[in-house]
Amino acid sequence: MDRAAFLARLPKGVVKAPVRPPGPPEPPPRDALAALVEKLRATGMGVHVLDSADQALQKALALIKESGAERLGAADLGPELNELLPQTARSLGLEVVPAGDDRAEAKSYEPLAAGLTRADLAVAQVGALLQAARPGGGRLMSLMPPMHVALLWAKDILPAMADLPPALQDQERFPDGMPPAVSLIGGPSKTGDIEAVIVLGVHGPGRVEVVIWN
Amino acid sequence: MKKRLMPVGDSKRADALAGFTERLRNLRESGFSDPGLISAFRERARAAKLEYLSRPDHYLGMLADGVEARGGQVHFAADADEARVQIKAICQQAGASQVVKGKSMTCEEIELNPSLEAAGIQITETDMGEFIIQLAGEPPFHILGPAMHKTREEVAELFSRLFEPVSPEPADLTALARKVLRRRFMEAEVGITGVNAMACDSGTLAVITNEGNGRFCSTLPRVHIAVMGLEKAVPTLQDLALISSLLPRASLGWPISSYVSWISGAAGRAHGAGPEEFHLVILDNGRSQALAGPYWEILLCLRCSSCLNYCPVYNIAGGHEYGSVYAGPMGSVLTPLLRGGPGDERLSQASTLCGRCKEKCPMGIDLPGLLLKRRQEQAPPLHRLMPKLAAEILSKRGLFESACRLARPLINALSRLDDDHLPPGPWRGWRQGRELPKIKGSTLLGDLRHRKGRENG
Amino acid sequence: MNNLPTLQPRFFATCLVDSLYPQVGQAALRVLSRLGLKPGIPPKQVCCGQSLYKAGQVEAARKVARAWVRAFSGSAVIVSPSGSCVAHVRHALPQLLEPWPELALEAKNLAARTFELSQFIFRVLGRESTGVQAPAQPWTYHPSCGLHRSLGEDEAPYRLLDGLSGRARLELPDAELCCGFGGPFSVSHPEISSRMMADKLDAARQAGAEVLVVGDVGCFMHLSCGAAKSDPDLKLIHLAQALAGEEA
Repeated sequence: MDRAAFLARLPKGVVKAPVRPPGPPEPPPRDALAALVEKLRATGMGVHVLDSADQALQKALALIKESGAERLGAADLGPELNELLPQTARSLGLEVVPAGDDRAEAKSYEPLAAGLTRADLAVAQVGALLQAARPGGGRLMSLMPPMHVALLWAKDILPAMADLPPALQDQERFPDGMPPAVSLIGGPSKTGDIEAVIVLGVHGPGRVEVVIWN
Repeated sequence: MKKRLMPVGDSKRADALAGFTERLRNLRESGFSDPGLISAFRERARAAKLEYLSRPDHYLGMLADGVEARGGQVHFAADADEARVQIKAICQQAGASQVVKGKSMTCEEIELNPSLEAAGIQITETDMGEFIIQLAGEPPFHILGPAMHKTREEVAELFSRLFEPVSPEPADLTALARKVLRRRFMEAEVGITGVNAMACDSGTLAVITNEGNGRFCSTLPRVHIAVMGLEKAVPTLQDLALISSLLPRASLGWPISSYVSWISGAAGRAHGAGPEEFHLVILDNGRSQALAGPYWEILLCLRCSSCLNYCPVYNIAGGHEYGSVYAGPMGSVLTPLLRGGPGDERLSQASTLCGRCKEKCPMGIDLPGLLLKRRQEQAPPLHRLMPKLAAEILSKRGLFESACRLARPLINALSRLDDDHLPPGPWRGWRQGRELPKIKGSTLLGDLRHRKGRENG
Repeated sequence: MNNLPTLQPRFFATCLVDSLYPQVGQAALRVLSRLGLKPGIPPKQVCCGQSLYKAGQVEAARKVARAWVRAFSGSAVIVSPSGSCVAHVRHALPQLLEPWPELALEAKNLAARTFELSQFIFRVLGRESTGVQAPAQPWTYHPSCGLHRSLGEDEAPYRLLDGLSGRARLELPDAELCCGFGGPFSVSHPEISSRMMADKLDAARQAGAEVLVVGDVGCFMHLSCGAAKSDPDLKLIHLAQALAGEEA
C-alpha cells in the first residue's frame, strides 16, 4: 500500500493525548560514577577505576593478558590512548590488530579472542556503556570476541537515560550528527533458553571488563 | 479454547511453564516492585503512546521522513500478506539466499518464515530459544522462553543429529549454537529484526535483547529489514529512552537488558559501520481498525509478557491453547482484532477477570475491562432464555424465593447423581471436583421475616 | 468518612448468602449488632447482577440493577459481606443505568454509600477489632480479587483479622492468586477453575491451616464446594463468620 493511502486509514483524534507528566520517572543518581560501578558489577561485568588514562590502558591490557589472549582487536580509543597503545601492548607481549566498525572486515575479526574499545558514553542510572557506529568505532569489538574490555573516561558518564538523546545530538561529541546506530551494553551476552540455566557468551562476549579512569 | 485442560500427558509442560513464569515473576518483583516508580514510568509511557495514537498519521509521516532522510526505505503493509510480499521482494532484490532473524512476534504474526522458505531463501532464527524450536519444528512456548519446554537432553539430541555430537550441558549446547549461528551471521545477505519501539522525531528504532543476536542481525548483513507493528511508535527519542528502560524492567526486573540498539537508517553510511541498506516495514493488519474501536487500549502493549506471567489461567492452560502468536490476557484481547475467526471468540471467556494482569501491566491496560467488553459483544443469543429467566428471578423477591424452594429438590437430586450420570456439558465439568452446595429452600430474609413474625405474633 | 454511630446501615445480603449461606448473613448481622448497630434489611432485595454482567449479559444485568436500586432506594449506608458485589455496585451500576437518568443518579449516590463489611467496620466506624477470638485451629485468609483488587480494599480485612485475639493468622502462600471462581468462568472453564480451586486449597494446607477464611461470597461458595469433595477436613468460613468469632 502506498504511504498516503496507509496514513489515510489511520483514525485521528479517537484517543486524547494527555498532558505529559513533567520530568523523568526517577531522579538521577547523585554520584554518577558510584552508581555506574555498582550497576555494572551487578550484571556480572568486571569494573575497575583508575586515576589516569594510561593507568587505565595498562589495566585493560593486563586483563586481556591474564585471560590468556595473545592478540586483541582494538577500536579507536581516542588520540591520547591510541598513541599509548602500541608501546603498552608491546611491553605486555600483546599483539594489537586495529579493528573498527567496518563490516567488510568482520570475517577477519573472527579469530580475535579479545576486543578493546573506548566507550563513547555511559549511563549511570541503568548501568550501561554506549558504543556508537562510526569508522573506528567499537561496536564490532564489543560484540564479536568472547571477551570485551571497554575503556571509559568518567567525564563521559551521563547520569540518566534522559540525558542520552541530547548527548547523541551534541555537535561537539558527534560532529557528523547523531550516529546511525548506537548500542547500549548493559551486561554480558546471556541466555536462559535451555531449562532456564543462565549461560554467558551466547552471541556477544561472555566476559566484559570496564576500566574507568577519573 | 479447548475445554479439556490439564491434559495428563502435558503435565510436564505445565510444570515447565509454571517454573519458568515463577522465575520471571521473582525477577520482576525483586527489580521492579516499587509502586511509586512503577506508577511514574506508567504515567509517562502511557502519555507518550497516547500522544502518538492521537495523531498517528502525523507521527508516522514524521517517522517515515526521518528514516528516508537517513538513507532508509519505508514500506507500508496493509496486512500480513502485503508484508510478506514486500519482505520477500527486498530479499530477492538483495540476491539473498540466506537470512538471519532476531526474535519478533510481529514476524510470527505475519507467518514470514514459510513464505521466504517457499522462495528458496534459508531463514535462520538466531535467538537461542527460537533457533531450537525452529530446528525442532515446534511453535514457541512463551515469548521470553520459546524453548522452555525442552529438556537439555532433547536439545542435545537435536543438535547432535543436525550438527555434531554435543553433551547435554547448557554451556556446551550454547557454545555449539554460537558457532553455527556465527557462521550464519557472517554469510547472510539480509538480517531481519522486529522493533520494540521507534521514535518518530528522529526515525530511530530500538532493538532490545540479552543475547546479542539482534545486534548481529542489524549489523553484519548488507541489508537490514526491521518489521514494526504500527502501534510501536512513540513521538520522541526521550520517549524511546523511557521505553528502552521500562521494557526490561517489566519483563525481567532489570533497568536495562544486555543490549539495546538504537538504529536510525543505514549505519553503513558511517563508512561501512553497519548495513548498506535499511528497510522498515510498517504493518497494519487490523491495528488501524482496532484504534477506531473500543479495544484501542491494547495498542499500548509493549509485549513485555508480564500479563502472561501473572495470569493463573495462562499458567494452567499454557501458550498453545490460545491458538495464536499472542497468548495470555493480551493475546485474548489482541488476537481477535488481528484475525477474526470462531476459535477466537472463546478467548474472552477464558478469564476470571481477577485483575492481576492489569495490576502488573507496565502500561496499565485495563485487560479485564477489554475482555468484559468483548463478552458483552459476544453474549450468545442461543442462551437467550437463560439470562432472561435469571434476570427475572434475580430482580423479583417473590420469584427468587419460589425459585429457591423449587431448587431444593432439584439440587438434592443432582447431588445424589454419580458424576458419570450427569448430562454432559457445563454441569458435568462443574461437578467434577465439587460437591453441590446444600440448599435449604428457604432464604435468609425469609427466615428472618419468619422469626420476626413469630416474635411479634 | 468519620464515625457515624447514629446512622443505621442497611444490609445487603447478596443472592448467594440469601439462598445458600444464610449463616454468613447471620454472622455479619451479629458482628454489626455487637458493634451497637441495628441494621435494617430492605425486604425487596435480591441481587446486584454481577454474574450476569460478567457473562456479558448487559440487558439482564440492567434489569437486576434497576431492581437493586429500587430495593435500596434512600439508604444512608449499605453494608454487604461481598467485596465483589460492592465493587460491581460502585463501578458498574451507575454506568449500566445511564438509560434511566434518575435511577442512574440514585445509583451513583448509593454507590458512594455502599461498603463491604470489613471496609465499613474499619473505615467508617474506625474500629480495628471486632473484639472476638480468632479461630481456635490454625487458620489463614484468602484475599479475594473482588475485595482486594476490584474494590481496592487491601487493608481492612487484614487489620480486622489481625485484631482478633488468640491464634495469629498464618500467611497464605501465593495469596494474591485468584481462587478460580470468576462467576461464569467456573461454568465456561470448569477444569481450569477446578485446578485453580485445588491450588488454593493446597496452599491453605501448605500454610498448615485447618481453617480457611474467605473474604468474598463467590469465592466462599467455590472453595466450599471444592473442599467438601477433596478436603472435607478443611473448614471454610467466611470473613464475616471470622469477625463474629465463629470457630473460636
